[in-house]
Amino acid sequence: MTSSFQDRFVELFDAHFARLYRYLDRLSGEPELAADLAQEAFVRLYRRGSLPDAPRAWLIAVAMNLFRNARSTRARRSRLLTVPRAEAVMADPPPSPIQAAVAADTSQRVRAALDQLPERERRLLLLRAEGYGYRDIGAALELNEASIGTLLARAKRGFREIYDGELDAS
Amino acid sequence: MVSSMHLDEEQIQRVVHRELTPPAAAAASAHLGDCPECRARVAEAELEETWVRERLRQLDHPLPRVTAAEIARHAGGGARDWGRWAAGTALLLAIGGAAYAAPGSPLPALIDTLIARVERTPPTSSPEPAPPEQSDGSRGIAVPPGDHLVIAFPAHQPGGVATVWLTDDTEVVVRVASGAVSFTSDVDRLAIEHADSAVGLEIRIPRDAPRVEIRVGTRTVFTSRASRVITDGRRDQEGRYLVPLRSPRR
Repeated sequence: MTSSFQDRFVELFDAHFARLYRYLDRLSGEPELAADLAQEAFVRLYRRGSLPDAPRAWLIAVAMNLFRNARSTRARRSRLLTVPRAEAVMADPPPSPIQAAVAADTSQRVRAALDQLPERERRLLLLRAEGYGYRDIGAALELNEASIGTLLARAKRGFREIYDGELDAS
Repeated sequence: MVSSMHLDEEQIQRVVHRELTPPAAAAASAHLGDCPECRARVAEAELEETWVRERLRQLDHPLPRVTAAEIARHAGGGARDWGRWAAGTALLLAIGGAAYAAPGSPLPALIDTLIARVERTPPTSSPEPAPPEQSDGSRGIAVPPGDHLVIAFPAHQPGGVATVWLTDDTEVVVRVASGAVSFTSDVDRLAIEHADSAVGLEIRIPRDAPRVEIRVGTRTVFTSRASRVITDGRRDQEGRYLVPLRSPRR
């Protein structure tokens, strides 16, 4: 394995691990699973020994395959020890009970709205929210790059309508 | 050219996301300078973008603490079959695969590292080949307890002892203090087999797990039901249960 590959791997990891994790976390609603899958995607990239043409899109596609596999075989999850997470920011004061309740309520509503979106729109929305460019999104989701903006606009509208509908219903 | 025509939805989004090519961006900018209607649409799209991002942030959890060096170390550590780290192992175990922790297996070194990370070992900053790691007592496995988990020792264990305690964790964690052990995970069952008679294990059980049992053969030697413990083992001053891994009738 060349040192230039390792250098580029580190750069890629530093720039994109958090993004990939957050994308998977938001998509699945399961932080442990998201951490596992994001790590495994990078493990596979490292084992590849060279970077693909579009490494970000490659990572997303691999992570999505892992996610599908995990979902299809998840009668029970069992794994080697827990993945440690960064500690909460200690400077933040703990939220009041009311704030915590409001945050939990909002979070539930966001999750419900996201889950009701069509699969493609959900992924589009989440990838863009993590700052992935149109080219990476198009490659990862096998969409025409020229129409990503239009599809994103539709996804955002759909998300908002569902979220507001949830709000009205509650 | 977009300077003389209103921006379409694709272009509006590309303006917001800075995804226009330089010539298209220049043309859009020129048009926006003259078109309050399109400026309003861009402003609205920016507001919507912000609104969506703020909502999505509500779903976030803290980032896992992992470095490129750790990824590289495990990815480059050798045979693929054992090197499936984290999710890979999860999938294997989920379908009933076995995780072997016998001396000489590279898996203990992997688990040692994971445990070290749990204990907040400071991360390194660059990938490097995996050094040979000693595995003198921190091999193990973690599984979610589910509604009812049985930790099963198929055979009598003369001299074997499990140190069991209740924790605030969310998973059952088994660590091998001594002896050669292999784990097999199945739905609601974690089987532990061993080659040595005097195996020593540490078993941490989530306090709020509905039901976790430790069985030796067909006999239950420890039961935890949402904090309530039934066992023949004695409790030490630190609240840990020392449970002999032998069938009580022997």
